[in-house]
Amino acid sequence: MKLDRDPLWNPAQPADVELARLQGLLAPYAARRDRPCPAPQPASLAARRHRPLLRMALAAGAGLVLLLLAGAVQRFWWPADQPWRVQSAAGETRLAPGQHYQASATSEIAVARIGRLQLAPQTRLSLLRTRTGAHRVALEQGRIEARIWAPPGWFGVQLGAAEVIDLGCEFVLQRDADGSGSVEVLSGWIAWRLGDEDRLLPAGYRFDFGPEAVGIALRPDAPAALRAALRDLAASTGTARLTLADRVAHAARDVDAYTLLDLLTREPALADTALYPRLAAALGMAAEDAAHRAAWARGDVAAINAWWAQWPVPPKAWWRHWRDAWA
Amino acid sequence: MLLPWFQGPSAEAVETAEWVLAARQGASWAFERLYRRHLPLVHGILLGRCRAARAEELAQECFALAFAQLTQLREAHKFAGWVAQIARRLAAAERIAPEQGAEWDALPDPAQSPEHAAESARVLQALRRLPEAYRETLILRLVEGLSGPEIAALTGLRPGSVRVNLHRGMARLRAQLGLAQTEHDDEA
Repeated sequence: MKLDRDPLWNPAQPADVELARLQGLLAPYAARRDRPCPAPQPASLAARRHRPLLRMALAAGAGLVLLLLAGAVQRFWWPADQPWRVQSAAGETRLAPGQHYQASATSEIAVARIGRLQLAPQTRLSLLRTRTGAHRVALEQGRIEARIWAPPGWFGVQLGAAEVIDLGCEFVLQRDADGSGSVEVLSGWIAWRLGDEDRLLPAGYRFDFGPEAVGIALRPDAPAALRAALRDLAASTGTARLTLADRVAHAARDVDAYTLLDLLTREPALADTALYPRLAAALGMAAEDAAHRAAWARGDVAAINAWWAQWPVPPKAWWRHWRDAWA
Repeated sequence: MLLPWFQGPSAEAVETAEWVLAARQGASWAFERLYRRHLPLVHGILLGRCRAARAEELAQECFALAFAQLTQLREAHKFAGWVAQIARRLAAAERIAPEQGAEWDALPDPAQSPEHAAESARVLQALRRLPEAYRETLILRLVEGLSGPEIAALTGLRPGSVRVNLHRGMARLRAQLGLAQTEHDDEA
């Protein structure tokens, strides 16, 4: 039986008489959805319980901080132009600034001491420069997965005229020979820079790009209706865009909040469409603030930033992804 | 073909991780969303081991504990598996629901006739006698009303495994209740 017609797999499918009867008998035992969410433990209570240990904790904490600082200095410092280590099935080699590397098999490149790149076969890149605080490669074609733990901007990937800048994260970058490709962020954020345009992309999202343009951020599992609506919107002009923007809003789920945020940030005038209240609902914001909506539609930076501040993990909090340091 | 290390966590797991991080900052909306998404999973696990009224109470206790210990969760996107383990530990500390009459699993529903309530309790107790893998999956489907994809997303099981558990569990449940098998039972 096909999955979508299997009533055990898909409750929307008609069930046989017995299955329907069993469901009816068991339904009263389902979790009550009207109970409120339990409150987390108050921080004040936790603080009172731990007060007797405060001095010991402070002393231990000071020692730990010194240790971490020493470790951070060792990790982040890198002599200018020191080659990177490259490992593959063929053995180990070094990649110096100005040199190209083509992976004949899956390979791993150590990005100084701040992370690593995993290269798919046939990936070709070059090392542009490397020193403390500034490590850059150029991806000519292929696929890399980068896992970096360092302050924002310390690592970047040149893609022709564009640049992907790591903000402390893990991401997958694919570039084809014609310069088109995609970038998907697995943790943290990246910034995309092309000329004067800066775009941000958070974990759980990807966008496609061409040699001189980049698409809207989308979740990999975005509904087909949303993708189609965005394609049509990108291709449209004039008043038709207002109707198409409404279509995007109706096709978007709450989890597509960043897609809507990205779109409305790039095209603030679309705040006059259903996109604004749909984004408000997805972020848990009030949609009735007419003054805020009007300000957004004018492109007011303060109004737009007010909703950016609602995003759970801000771009600059790279240190939260500390596990990437031991990838 | 995607190389294994290029595959990231699922979209739901990434979203859950965002909520966990926001909850650690005290965002009440994040606690709410974590609770709503994972309540069926936690309640389903507890219902499979404890009497019905106690499962409701323990579900609330489970989330209160999880939220108080949220900083101990090492990988935010694995919240579902982590809170499920808390639920199982709570259930293990309870006396396992023995075979009892309908009053053991009685729920305050004045609309239910005594005969209907007794039959509901009999079916629930038959579910509890199933092997754990079948029991939890089938409770999520038949009691909590989740679909196969939703069960897979919450439990981390592969969709194929969920389907096997559903069909084989259903076949065993029918056998326990003395019901006829269908041609699709035990289909995997």
